[in-house]
Amino acid sequence: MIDWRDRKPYWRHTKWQMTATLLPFLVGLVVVPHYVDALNTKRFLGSPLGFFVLCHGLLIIAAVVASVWVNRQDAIDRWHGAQEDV
Amino acid sequence: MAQMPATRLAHPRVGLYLGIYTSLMAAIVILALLFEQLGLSSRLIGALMFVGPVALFATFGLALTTRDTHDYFAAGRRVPAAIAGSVTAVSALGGVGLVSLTGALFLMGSDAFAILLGIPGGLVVMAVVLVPYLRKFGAYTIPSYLGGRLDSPTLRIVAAAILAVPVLLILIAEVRLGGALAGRLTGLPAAIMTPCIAALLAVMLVGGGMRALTWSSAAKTVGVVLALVVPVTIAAVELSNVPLPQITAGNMARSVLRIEVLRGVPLLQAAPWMVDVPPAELEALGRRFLQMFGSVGGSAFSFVIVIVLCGVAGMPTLIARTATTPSVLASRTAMAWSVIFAAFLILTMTAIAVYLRFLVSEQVFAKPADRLPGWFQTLMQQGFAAVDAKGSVPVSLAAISFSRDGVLTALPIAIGLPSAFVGLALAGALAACLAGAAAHMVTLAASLTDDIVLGAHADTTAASSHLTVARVALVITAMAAAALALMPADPLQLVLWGLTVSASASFPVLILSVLWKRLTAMGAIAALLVGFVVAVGLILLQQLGRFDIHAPLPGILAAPLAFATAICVSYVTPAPSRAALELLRDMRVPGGETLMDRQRRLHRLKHGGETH
Repeated sequence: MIDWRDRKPYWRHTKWQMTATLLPFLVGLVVVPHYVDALNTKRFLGSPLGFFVLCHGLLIIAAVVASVWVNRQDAIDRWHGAQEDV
Repeated sequence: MAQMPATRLAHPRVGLYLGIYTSLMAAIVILALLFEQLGLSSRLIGALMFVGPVALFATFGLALTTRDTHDYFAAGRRVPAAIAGSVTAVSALGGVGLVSLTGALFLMGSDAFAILLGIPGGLVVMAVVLVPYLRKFGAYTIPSYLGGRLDSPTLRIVAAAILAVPVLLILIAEVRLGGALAGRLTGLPAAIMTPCIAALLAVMLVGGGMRALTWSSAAKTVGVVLALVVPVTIAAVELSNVPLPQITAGNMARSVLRIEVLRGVPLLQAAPWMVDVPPAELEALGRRFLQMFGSVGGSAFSFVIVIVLCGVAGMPTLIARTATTPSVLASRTAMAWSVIFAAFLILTMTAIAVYLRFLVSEQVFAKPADRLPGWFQTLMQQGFAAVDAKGSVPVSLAAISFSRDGVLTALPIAIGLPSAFVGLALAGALAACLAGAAAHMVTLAASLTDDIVLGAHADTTAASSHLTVARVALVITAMAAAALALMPADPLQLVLWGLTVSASASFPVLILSVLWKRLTAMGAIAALLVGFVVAVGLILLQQLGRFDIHAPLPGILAAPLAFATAICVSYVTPAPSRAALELLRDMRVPGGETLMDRQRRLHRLKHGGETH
């Protein structure tokens, strides 16, 4: 169980991890669609690049972001001794 | 309980049961194919594809009855992360997402990603900011979480009343579409099948609640994947020789682009704030598939993504699902699985839309109207497609119309697959509708039981009485859903309204309840009311033609207003008590016992009597 004094540093660390996980992802999600038409003039793996980024790219990034976050947050839990007893 | 290894908490035979179920689903399809070769009518094959899978889902539901409240409301908190995640993804998309958004992708092209990208985005936000903390809290419903977190029975009741609206809207959409799909499979009118679907759900869920929902939804997920993947993989092999439609869809999209450019399809630009989501009726093509901002304006596009994202992240149904996992770490892993699974489903839906659009571009577009391919004529006879041209006149893209909700089943017809595959696609879409509707029904019934009827006494009521109330609430919810689903409404529009209300009312309060310790009960109540009233008011004004703002855009105004209201009201009301702050600090740390489970255990020790 986490030490009482370690709770604040743990939550501060967790908030930084939240920001680092969500901010680039959300900015990408909102900004990338505005460049799709311009990117469609190029090709990637036989697909128009804009379509590839919009469809495959953002979905793959979402999956990677979620998976990496699970790993990083678990590392933060262990670093501060906040992990579960299981 | 907390000291037991998480692996031992999961059901040991889950893999075996789901393997048997998958084999039975495959056997039903093979049987339908055999019967079709023996000359059985397509109506009887459709009936087989309805009765077979539904009987399997019902078996899962009926076999998992329980007399334990913990099992009934949280599936005993022993659902493995991968299963919980895949079921969450299917519940997030639902049948409406699967059927209507595939159609929207086909008709709108790249612009449909404004809605589609919000779904995995919302799951990511929910995973990072909400799920681990709400799982540690361990409440069965979101209103009971809010009421417990801010120590306010009034907030609990207000939240239950307001959060029921988005859940009910999406429940109605799922039941309505489920009735239409069941009608197509059986040949019976949708008006008869819609109440049947609601009754079927009530029968499946009344005995086992969340437990029955979770495991029958796991079975439905298998059905959804089979129905989506099999026809489009066959199409990919036929058209590109590669059995990976999710990857080859890009090449097909380039072919579509080339055909459209060569034949001079015009570039159309939507007004900056326009959101033109295709209706359920026949809708003309006419826009380039890969062109951005033809149906959804450039300014609206980003906001649609954000509002759908917030709506998904704040949806009480989806958050409640993660209460079924054995630990906080498992709930995080479940959310990662749900993002991966949703991404896979969206990629497959995109492949279906792209492949069908390729076939239409190559075989229908610019061809003489009197020499259209047989598959397209079949679709026209069934009322899922139309052409506004006659004689030997070449068909323009704008003259081709498709029914949005018929696109998913048009691909097996277009590549000449036997009608058993059309039945498989319909059965899969129906499975998604049932999974989505069941999740919303259980959430509504649990809220009605725990937050409205029993309220503060929910945790102290005897298990038998608690379950009786829950079962009656579930039947009432099913009856209400059946009655409301008979009213004419577009399922996709209902879902967009539901997401708008969720983003405006639920999301701001839930986010602040985790991240901001100064939030007070009055602030939360005010935010819920303001978000709800502004969102619903703008939707009603748009429906009355007084204000031109299409769903989900009302969330742009409502959600920031709700955030601002929560902050202002919290600052002018007394600060939260020391106990509330201590609860928040406990909630933010994954270790230790689930807070509500501890409260129930202590109550049992103190008072004895019937266990929960």
